[in-house]
Amino acid sequence: MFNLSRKSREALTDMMLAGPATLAMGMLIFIPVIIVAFLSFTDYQMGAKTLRWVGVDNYATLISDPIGRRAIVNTLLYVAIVVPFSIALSLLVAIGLHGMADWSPSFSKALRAAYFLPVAATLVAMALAWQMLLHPSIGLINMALIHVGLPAPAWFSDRGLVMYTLALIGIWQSVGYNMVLFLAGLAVIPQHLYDAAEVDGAVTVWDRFWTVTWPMLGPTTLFVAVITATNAFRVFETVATLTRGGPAFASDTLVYALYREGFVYFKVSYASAITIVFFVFVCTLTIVQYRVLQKRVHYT
Amino acid sequence: MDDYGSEDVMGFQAVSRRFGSTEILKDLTLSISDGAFTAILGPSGCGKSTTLRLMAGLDQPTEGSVTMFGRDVSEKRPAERNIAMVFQSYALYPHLSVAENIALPLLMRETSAFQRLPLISKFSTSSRSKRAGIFERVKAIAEMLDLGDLLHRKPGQLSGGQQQRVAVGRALVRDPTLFLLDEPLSNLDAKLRIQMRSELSALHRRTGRAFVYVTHDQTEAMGMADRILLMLDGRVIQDGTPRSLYEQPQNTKVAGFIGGHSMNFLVLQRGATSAGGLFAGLGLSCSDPSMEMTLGIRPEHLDLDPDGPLYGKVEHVEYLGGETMIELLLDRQIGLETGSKLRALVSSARVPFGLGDAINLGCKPELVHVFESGSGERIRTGIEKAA
Ligand SMILES: Nc1ncnc2c1ncn2[C@@H]1O[C@H](COP(=O)(O)OP(=O)(O)O)[C@@H](O)[C@H]1O
Ligand SMILES: [Mg+2]
Repeated sequence: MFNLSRKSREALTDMMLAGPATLAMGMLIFIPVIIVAFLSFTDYQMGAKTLRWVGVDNYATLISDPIGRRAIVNTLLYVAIVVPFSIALSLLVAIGLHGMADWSPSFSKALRAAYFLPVAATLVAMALAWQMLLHPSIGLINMALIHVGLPAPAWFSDRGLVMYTLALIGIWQSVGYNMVLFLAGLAVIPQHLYDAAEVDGAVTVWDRFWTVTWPMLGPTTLFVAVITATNAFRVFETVATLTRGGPAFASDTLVYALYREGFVYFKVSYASAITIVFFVFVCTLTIVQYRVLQKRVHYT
Repeated sequence: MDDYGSEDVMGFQAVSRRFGSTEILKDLTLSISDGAFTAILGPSGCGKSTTLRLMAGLDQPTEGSVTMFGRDVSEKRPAERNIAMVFQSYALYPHLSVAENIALPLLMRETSAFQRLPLISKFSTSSRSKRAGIFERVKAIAEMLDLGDLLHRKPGQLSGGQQQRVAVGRALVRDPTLFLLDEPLSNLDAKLRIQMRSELSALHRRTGRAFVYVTHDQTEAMGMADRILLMLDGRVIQDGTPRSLYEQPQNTKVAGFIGGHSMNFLVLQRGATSAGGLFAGLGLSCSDPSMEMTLGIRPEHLDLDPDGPLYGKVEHVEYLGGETMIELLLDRQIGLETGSKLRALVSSARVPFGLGDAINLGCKPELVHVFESGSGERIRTGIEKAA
């Protein structure tokens, strides 16, 4: 022990620090993933005594079955709406609040707290509030719409509308968190770059944004995009509490389908296949985002 | 009021700037002559950058007005003032290449916001031909600054000196009325700093524009500037040529700040001007013998002289190569406070003595500065008038 070189002692310390967590992660994540991957190629049902190798049958079902396909398309649609709108909105709010901190710090702080509230509150409780707001006849929003003479849509029971309603709630829920990330990114942009831009003739807000703010926020934006996309892929609480995937599977999503197949119908093998598809989607998205964008947001 | 044709490119009239309750600039009045190389010299924290930001229009005065060619520009933004600025940190855009960094001021001025949109700029032909023209000018500037091979690098891949050149190129690429440079050399190593000094001077001669050069390094200011504004605590305490600052410092603060080796101050006792005292010994005379005075003598102006009026024991010797700095504890004599010390820079070839030896030093009377002890203000002596 005492004869170890300094280098190996330091390596030992590193391993002692990271080791237990790594071991636990291996046992609790990688092993289950391998088991799930294995089960997805069988016909195993919860409680069954035997299982049979069925190859890619479960995956074939998921893709050929209209319900399975609907879950995939819905999830992709949800992600495609939530990510850009959430990023744009939270960036806008962050820039506003960042500037506001100069002339009214307390108001800026109060608004920050308000935007962060949906992040801090449990989504199930918030879903209840949304249900009341969006109730077709007694909801506040529809009453207001009727009052000004606009049609009152059935937010959760219109099959063409329900995914957009859920996406709206998804945006509302993620804006606060993303705003905090953007505020942190804005705080570290050096003031001298804005000064230089001003001297160079970037006089309008628009020019300053494209010359300094947007490029300097590159790494933050990439991080926000990855986080928002992975969270959007996991959309579950709002579906489970507000629509149960309905009407007629119009708002079925991957994780909700996974829950239904695995925990309601006990079709463990089919649920495992959905899990793997979900996993592949999230991993691919993350890797692509990092691979493609990493080079473009770090400037060395 | 609007008398156009004033040759001062920039002027401050009773400008003050407060941050909260602290007053950083105090009632500052100054002018910058067109075409001249003006240095703003002062210790760190005295308000030089604040002054420069007010000139640029990046900041506004709390009180007073800023003028260009006699016209009030307090409300005008940097782009409208047509100034160019080199920042201490260079402030290059890290995501743009060297060429794009230098081109940015031209793109902002000569293309429309629509033409600058990321996709439009690539595919619109009018925007592309304009860009090609701009790029030609950028290339010419880059060649001049020895950046020709680095045009496609990002600032993060350049050395400090190269980044500094890019910052200068960006300032130079359009034809500004006034160049503002905020300690542009302070992040470079000593050798590069000296090289860049002469390059900046050459640039000033070539452009013929007014330069305002902020620095805390007096050798830079003395070596490059036509005129120095010496700042202390938010005030300009002397304004003049490098030579006048060195030869006729208006008070003890200026005298102490300017010069490679700090000036010796000898506080004289009352009545020191009487015959037989040090004052007379140095060949000085004074019309008002009741005044309390402090003598200022630069170490480099003292010399070994067997009959010199300053004598004492050598306390410390510092060999500096060609020259040697000796520190002397002066003997008691009329007018001089006990324990007065003196530092003298003498040619090393003339140092045949060691610690504890008694030596005499002399100084030409016209090189002795006389200040009033209380206020620190310069007193005009009879000798100076004659000289
Ligand atoms: N935006 C600001 N807010 C508050 N204090 C400031 C600000 N800018 C400068 N100061 C203060 O003004 C003083 C002078 O600063 P500066 O002009 O940068 O000095 P210099 O460039 O001569 O070193 C410093 O004490 C600094 O802390
Ligand atoms: Mg400064």
